[in-house]
Amino acid sequence: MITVEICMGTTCFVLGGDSFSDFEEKMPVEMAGKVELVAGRCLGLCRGGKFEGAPYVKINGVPVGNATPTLVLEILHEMLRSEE
Amino acid sequence: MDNIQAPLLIEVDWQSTLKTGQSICGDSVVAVKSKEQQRYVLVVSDGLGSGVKASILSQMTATMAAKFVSSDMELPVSLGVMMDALPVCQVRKISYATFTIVDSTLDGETRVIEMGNPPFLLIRNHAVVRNDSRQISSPGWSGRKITVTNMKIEPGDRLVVLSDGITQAGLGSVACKLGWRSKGCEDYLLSRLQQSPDLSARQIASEVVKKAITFEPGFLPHDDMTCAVMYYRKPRELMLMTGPPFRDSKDKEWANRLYNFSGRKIVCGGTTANILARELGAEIKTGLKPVGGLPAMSSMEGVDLVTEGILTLTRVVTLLENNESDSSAAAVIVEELKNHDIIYICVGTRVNEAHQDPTLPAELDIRRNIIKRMKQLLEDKYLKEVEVDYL
Ligand code: FES
Repeated sequence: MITVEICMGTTCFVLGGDSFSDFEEKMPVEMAGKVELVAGRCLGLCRGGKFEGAPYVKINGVPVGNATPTLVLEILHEMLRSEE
Repeated sequence: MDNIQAPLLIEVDWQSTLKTGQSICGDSVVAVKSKEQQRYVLVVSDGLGSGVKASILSQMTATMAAKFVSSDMELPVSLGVMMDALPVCQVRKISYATFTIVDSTLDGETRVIEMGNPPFLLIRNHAVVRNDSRQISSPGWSGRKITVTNMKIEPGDRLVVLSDGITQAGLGSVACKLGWRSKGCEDYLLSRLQQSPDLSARQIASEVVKKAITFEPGFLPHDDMTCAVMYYRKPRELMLMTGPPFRDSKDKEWANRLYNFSGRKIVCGGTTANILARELGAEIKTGLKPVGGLPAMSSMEGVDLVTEGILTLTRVVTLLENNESDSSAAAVIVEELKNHDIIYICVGTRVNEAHQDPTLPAELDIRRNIIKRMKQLLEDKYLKEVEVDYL
């Protein structure tokens, strides 16, 4: 199971995190049961003025900056493919 | 039942409806909060007949009664002066307007002075409490009698004053020959409070009037109807915590303050929530879907409501300013704020771990300004007691 933690903290939300609102619906069927989505409240990655990286997402604990639904889907596809 | 040491809060509200065909209400209600709010005087007066004349008479009576009672005159003296001043119908030798005066202090001492209205109802612990009263009359009062009841109010009590339009609702109708009567209203109130023990003064007043109307043939009130309610209760307290404390060594203290608070608890801010959850060993679950354009609410054991910080609070201020609502978490906070009397706002002033960041003071300023504005609105517009604490 891959865990995707989407930051819903203020900075990330303002800088594009809200585009993940329908991410669950956007996920292709083959990801069902393999990917778990969790919402986070400031993952602590925007600290120290690192706003330019927001919105942040963590995939299995690994931070991804400037995250978009497309980017995250790509990474997930990649990970699932290499798992097979 | 615990005794009232802490001052009570008196919630006062009333509802009136007009006699069918009239455009002005012959019942009048005057409520005066006096002497630095340590005392509440409520007067319900019913003018003889209906329409403009009744309205002026009852308004005059209610205003005068409220003034006399609020003054520090001895009761017999003030009553004498008032009774002399009130106009009397020359034909029927009765007053042009009846009245019920409720005079309560915040420590519970209450007296009710009645002339001509249906007797007041005191509801305590799902039952109506009857109190001893005495009658006062004077040769100059042309037979008019005044009933005075002294009593000690307890937290949770509700005192209900009705005009006869309510107790006589339905009088003479097939379904309800003798009218609803005080007894009918009493039973209705008790059963409603059994179902919903937290009904506010406003809700009770409006439900009683609505119910009374249902007894009138064709739902057409044949008299003005008024129900006034004084609800004596402990103030409802709420704590809103936003921002982590300036020093992280205070995190534990911050968490304990929230944990030990006995009222309603709201946390605004993800980082704040994370810190509190860590300190309290609680788990937080956050919704993925933004609602009403704001991040979704989270749930955390021991806290009633967890939301995002700055954006949500900014929206709270806008909603309070315009007295609006929407589907967002901010509207839920606004509802909570409106439902409470004393609001403690704890503002943490830590901006970030990296104190050198030039953008940080701005964030702190935003939070401070929002809270300042919110406090002002809650106090001035919503008459709340607000205490802000920075740590
Ligand atoms: S708000 Fe997303 S990492 Fe801080």
